[in-house]
Amino acid sequence: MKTDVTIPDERMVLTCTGVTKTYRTRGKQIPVLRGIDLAIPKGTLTVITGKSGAGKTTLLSILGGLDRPDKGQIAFLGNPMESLTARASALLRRGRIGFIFQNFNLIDSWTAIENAEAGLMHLRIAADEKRRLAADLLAGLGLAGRLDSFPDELSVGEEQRVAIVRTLVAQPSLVLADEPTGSVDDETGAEIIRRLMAHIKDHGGSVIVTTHGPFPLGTADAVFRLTDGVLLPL
Amino acid sequence: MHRFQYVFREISRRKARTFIAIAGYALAVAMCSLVLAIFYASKESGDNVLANTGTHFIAFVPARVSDAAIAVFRDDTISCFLTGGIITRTMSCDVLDSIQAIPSIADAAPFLMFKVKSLVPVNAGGTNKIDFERDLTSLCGPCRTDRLMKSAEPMLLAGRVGPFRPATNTTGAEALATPDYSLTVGGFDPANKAAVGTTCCAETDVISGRFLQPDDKGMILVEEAYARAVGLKSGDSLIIGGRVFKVAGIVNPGIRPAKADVYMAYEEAEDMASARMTQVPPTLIMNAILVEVRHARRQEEAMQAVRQLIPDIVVSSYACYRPAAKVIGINEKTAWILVTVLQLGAILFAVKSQTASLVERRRDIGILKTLGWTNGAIAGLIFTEAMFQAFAGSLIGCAGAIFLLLVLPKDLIGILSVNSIPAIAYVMIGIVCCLSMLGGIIAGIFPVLHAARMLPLEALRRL
Repeated sequence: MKTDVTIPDERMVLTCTGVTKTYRTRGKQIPVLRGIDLAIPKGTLTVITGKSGAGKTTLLSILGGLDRPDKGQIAFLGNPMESLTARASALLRRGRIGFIFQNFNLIDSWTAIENAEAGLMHLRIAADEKRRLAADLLAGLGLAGRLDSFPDELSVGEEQRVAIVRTLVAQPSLVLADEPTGSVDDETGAEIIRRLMAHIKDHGGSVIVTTHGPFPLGTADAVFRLTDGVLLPL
Repeated sequence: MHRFQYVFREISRRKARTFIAIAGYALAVAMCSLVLAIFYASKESGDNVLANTGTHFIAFVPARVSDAAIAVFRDDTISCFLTGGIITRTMSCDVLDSIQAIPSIADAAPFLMFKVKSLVPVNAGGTNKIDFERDLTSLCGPCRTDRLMKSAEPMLLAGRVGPFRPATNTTGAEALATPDYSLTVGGFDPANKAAVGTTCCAETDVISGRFLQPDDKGMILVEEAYARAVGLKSGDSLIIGGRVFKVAGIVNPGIRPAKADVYMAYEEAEDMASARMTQVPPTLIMNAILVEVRHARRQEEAMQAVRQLIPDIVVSSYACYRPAAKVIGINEKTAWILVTVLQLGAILFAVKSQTASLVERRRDIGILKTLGWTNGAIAGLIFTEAMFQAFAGSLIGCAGAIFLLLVLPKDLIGILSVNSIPAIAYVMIGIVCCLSMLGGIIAGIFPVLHAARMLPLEALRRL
């Protein structure tokens, strides 16, 4: 017997079905995503590769609730995201979905520790505890002496490490990393990958990484290539 | 990081933008406050003048043709009571208490005006037919003197006229064309400054000599035109009703409603009139009431109240209270238009400043949204910042406006010819400050709506 009721798969942190996205610019329609189907199991690393401009960032943004698909369904921990209001989407993201951006996106007027704490901003934890958690993670990444430095006083690698701490400090269920190693040297890139893997191992979180450059694909549980708006498994 | 920490961090980090925004508010508030304080102080001064412009009238009861009141005198020295050229009836002064009790009326005073038959004014000194005839001959020539003397003789015999002195700009012949030359006498209370000054004559009307004082006896004021016609000057004497009065001063009261040729103290006029009436009135009498109203806008109300109080009464007023009341209304409208325009300008400036701030912080807003900040929380940030800037700017602007009001030369400001800042200025500064804060909220609305509509990805992409 056929039924319309979808039973959430508890093994999946995120599922998306038939996601499409088209940008409209100066009367032209530019299709970016053409029916993406994806399922991310808990505690896995998924890598999505593709050329620059292939739509990787758009896909990550839609998966994280930062953008809306034109069509398709997305479920995060069983919660449908495509129909959420902006407020509901923001509340769902808090502490559960973390983003790592290629250009780090630290807030310039905040110090390293303040940026790192931002990941815990909405959690009901004492301020001192938030600071301790963030400081410990930063210290673990070699930034113990740079807690009060502002982003423009940090090196690129240090900025990226602060951004990673901001994302991982809340131990989110899903980390969406957009070209996390794209702007850093090999050593920092390796450190970033180690941290992401530790997050999966220690906390059972899932990570989706997009990349157009070198990435140790062997560490990934699943690898896809985004070409012409279609996601192809490799 | 707490919202306020973030706001103050942003404010302190972007010093130039914050300074410009706060300076914009401060300048707008200072200018608004200064302009409005001066405007309102000016308006207050102007309104005080306008509120008393035309706020007076006279009230009298016209005598009917068949009215016995017309023929009330036992001889022809006084021909009639009249007001504004109309023969009028007398009223008891007791009614003044009721008129003064009317809320819209500030003051009321009695006025008694009557027409006195007289020949020509005389200088103090002897009075005889020989002197009079000699003067007349020298002016008119012998051929006309006989005829004129026949007209004047009864009055000469009655001792009412003495040596003739022609008016400066007239010939004796012209002046004597009406040998029963009449004059109007107005009796007013010299102690009353409010009602009398605006409807009859005031100290400022004196062009030579002095004004009547409350304790003056046998003194009169002569209206300038009459004085010129008959050649009178201060210090001269005039026989009126068989009594000699000395001219205290020459006045020009303009076109006031209660205008007479000669003014004397009310008691003396009343005594002169009542003594010649066929029936001596039991109370003090008057044939006109001089009324001063509290405000130009209450003029109609006051006139109506007097009409209701005394049947058949006629009120006569300057019509200028109407434009005065209208101008007060126009001033108020102008002030509010000015407030609106200035505040709109300030708000537009603030909107521009806040929008510029939003553009600068689009990336931060995008980051905060990815971290799970709701639109409401981000709106709170922008509002907090806008309000802080508005508040700081308002305080500085207020201080600046008060400082300028204190240090600017009062004569430069013009209307603020007082030693301290008028209370209205502080009120206006307070209002402008509140409006500025409100403007801060309004100025924040557009950027907040804009920020709320921004998708996080969109905010991050437009870097």
